[in-house]
Amino acid sequence: MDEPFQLEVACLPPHCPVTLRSTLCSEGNDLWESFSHYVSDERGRVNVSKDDSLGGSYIGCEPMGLLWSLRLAVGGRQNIRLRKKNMQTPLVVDISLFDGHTIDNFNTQTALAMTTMERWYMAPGVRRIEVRENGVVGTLFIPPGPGPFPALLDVWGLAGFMEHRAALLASRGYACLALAYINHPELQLGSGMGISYFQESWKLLQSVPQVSADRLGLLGSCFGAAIFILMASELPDISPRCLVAINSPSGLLNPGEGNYLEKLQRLLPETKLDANGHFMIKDAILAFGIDLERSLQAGGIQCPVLLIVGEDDQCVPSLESAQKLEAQMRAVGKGHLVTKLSYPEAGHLIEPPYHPVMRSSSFILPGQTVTLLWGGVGKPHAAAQEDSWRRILEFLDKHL
Amino acid sequence: MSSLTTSMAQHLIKSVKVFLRFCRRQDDMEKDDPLWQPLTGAAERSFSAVEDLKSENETRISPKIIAQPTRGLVDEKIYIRVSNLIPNKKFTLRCLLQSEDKDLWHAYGHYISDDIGVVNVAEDVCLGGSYTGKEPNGLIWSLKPVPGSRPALRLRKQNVFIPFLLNISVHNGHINDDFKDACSLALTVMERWYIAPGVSRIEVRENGIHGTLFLPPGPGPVPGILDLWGGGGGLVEYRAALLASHGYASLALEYISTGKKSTSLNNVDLKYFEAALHFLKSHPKVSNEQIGVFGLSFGTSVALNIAANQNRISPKCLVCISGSHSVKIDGSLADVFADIEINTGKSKIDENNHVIWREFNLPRLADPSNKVKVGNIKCPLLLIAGDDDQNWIAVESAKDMENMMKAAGNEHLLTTIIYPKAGHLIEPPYSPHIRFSNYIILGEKQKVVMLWGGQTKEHSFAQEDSWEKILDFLYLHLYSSSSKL
Repeated sequence: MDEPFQLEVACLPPHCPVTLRSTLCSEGNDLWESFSHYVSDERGRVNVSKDDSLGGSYIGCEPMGLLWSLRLAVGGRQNIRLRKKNMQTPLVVDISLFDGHTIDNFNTQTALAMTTMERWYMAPGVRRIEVRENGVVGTLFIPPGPGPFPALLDVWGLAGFMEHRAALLASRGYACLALAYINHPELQLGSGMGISYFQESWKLLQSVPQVSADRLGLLGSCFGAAIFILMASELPDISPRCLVAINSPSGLLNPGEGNYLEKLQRLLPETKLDANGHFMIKDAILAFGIDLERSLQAGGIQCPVLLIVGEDDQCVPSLESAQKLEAQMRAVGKGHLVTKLSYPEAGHLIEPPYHPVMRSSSFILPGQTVTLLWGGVGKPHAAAQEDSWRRILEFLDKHL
Repeated sequence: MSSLTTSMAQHLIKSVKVFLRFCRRQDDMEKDDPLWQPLTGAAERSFSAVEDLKSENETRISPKIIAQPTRGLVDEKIYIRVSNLIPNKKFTLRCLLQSEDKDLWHAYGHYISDDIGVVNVAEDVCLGGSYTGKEPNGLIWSLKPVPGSRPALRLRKQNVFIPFLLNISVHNGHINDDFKDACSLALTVMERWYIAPGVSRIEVRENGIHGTLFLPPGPGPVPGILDLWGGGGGLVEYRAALLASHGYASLALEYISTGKKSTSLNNVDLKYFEAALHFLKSHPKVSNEQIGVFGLSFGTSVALNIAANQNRISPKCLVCISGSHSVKIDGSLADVFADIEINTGKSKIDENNHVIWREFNLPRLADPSNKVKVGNIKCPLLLIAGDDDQNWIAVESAKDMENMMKAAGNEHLLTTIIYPKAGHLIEPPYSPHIRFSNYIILGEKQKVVMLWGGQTKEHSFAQEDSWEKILDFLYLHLYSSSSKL
């Protein structure tokens, strides 16, 4: 899924305007599509890696544009994130070629040609094991081979449990435990919220035979990252070799214990809405965090930290939190451990590369479903996903 | 403002990097599968091997193997790089595969890691094993059955919807052939496919035709290829699937029954092949003009007969591998085989009891009535042969064809490539070379070991090089020539 592809069209007449369209049918049966306009060269060829798109879902030279600019098709459900639950099957993307520069009504036209591409999160040989042990709920992905491998705990934010990044990391050589701590049907009520749960999952990962017990790292997004920062800073028995935090609110929000979703819900009345009626949580969290007593102290972290920040994050005050965290570590002489990567115009949902960019989507809270504004603008956000992933892999390679 | 006419409506999208379907979960494999690495057992076994990987400050960590593409077509080149090894030490890289018949094939190479503990197969020199020298793809083209295997095996794919799983492993030291006690330091898996995503497979049983059609995705029309194998008979699908993955609607045609099924295919004549061509042409997704014929061994003879015959369907181009024009088909194939079999009694047996057919057909070249009138061929012809072909007189035939076509004035249509030290079975790239294998002579219902010939390294080069030239040739004559304004 994180590998680029090459796409070429040949045997066209020279200087012929054509439209390339990519479509994907998600597991939820939603149709995603993207299209772009090209003109063939004098040899009748189009090369997406080199040529400019003249319009459509993206413009300019974008080798991977047909993936990251995918959007839910008009007429279907809207505002839903692209989520793959089954890691054993690929996302299937069809690429079709149409005559001329079309912008809609593709279904009424006959494509000139078509090809199919499969995008996988899991490499061949990677083992997927569902973990239900000592109350810990998650999925462990182990690379093929005897090991031992360096390992990672992987968590997401309040949106809940997702496996795809852990599957990708295992495909890149890391034993990775995707950990559920919220919104999972098999989590025992209350057990997902306490710090002891995370300590238990850490111990569990260390005990896997294929894992090299002293080469563990923590990788989290959003709230999950905040929890990891708390763990790394405050708990002496948790000693990661390195930590990656993507858009974490940790500098300003102490996750502590308790029901996070309720906390989030309490923020809602104070939350502003944007022009589309989408909630912008960020300011509420900012206001919430001004009380310094409540903010998380990260000074106890002993390992290198990679902070990924989307400067247009409208969900959490990612930039401010990262600056705060860096300051806290500098204050105790550990500023050299922090690397901060800040991406202008990137939003909250910094996913692995080529994931469709979504500026807002629906979010389920207890009792209501709202639309949250994540932030992020097309091309810069896609570039942030690509660059941050490369930097994350380099960082993990170096420290694990 | 441009509207494309139907004759120009043949377009090809080449998706170079595609990943294919159906990753087989390791958890689903049986416990006695040699490729199974149980979670605890292998780890415990490997710790002792990994012990000596410890350097002073670092705790044990597994070497990392990057093998690309993780999922690819069988004709794609590979890239293998191992890191995290102890520097300047001997290691063996091994590729292990299990065939659908449950036989194990492997290839291995001896390397020495560099100063930073890396072995890069594309750049480093292999010091011994199944191959030597700088051979980026050596671990796949030099595959041979593991020691103790059944004799005279040939690796052929039956179900194209299941990939070959290649297990790439790295081991301490320079191991020779016997890996029974050698546990791997690291392991990764590559899938090799004969079929790309989106290609569909359609069984064809109409108008007396017995075959399988592989169609590229999309509305078409695309060029078509009639794909013909040799005298071994049966329905062999993998090359047609691969050609479809390159954009050609390909019909793998069975024309000799192997007797396993109750088909009455042993009496066909040229009309059978004409029917197959007609089926291809009239398929809604296939161009009715851009049709080629691809033959190997006896299939080449058939292809030449079709093209030289003044019948209604003339192909746009021919690819002929390891075959001869000295087999004229006038009546039924049964007659033709009978004619050939008169001479099989004269075939030689070498010191290993392998049957050599090469020489006994030589006299046919002297008699014009045996030979297809290649001077009548009106389309471009790509002729490929190995000069160590022990089964057919491919090289002598090629020379004779050239003479005949010069005399007739159509030699400009002919391109001949003779590969030194290549044998008879010039297959798609990276198919393991075998110098001989089990073969059933159908007429006599006799099982022999047939000598095909070829030296592995040169034969593998011939497969790789000829395939590239074949694809260029097909593209030139079936795709790009049609889109000229």
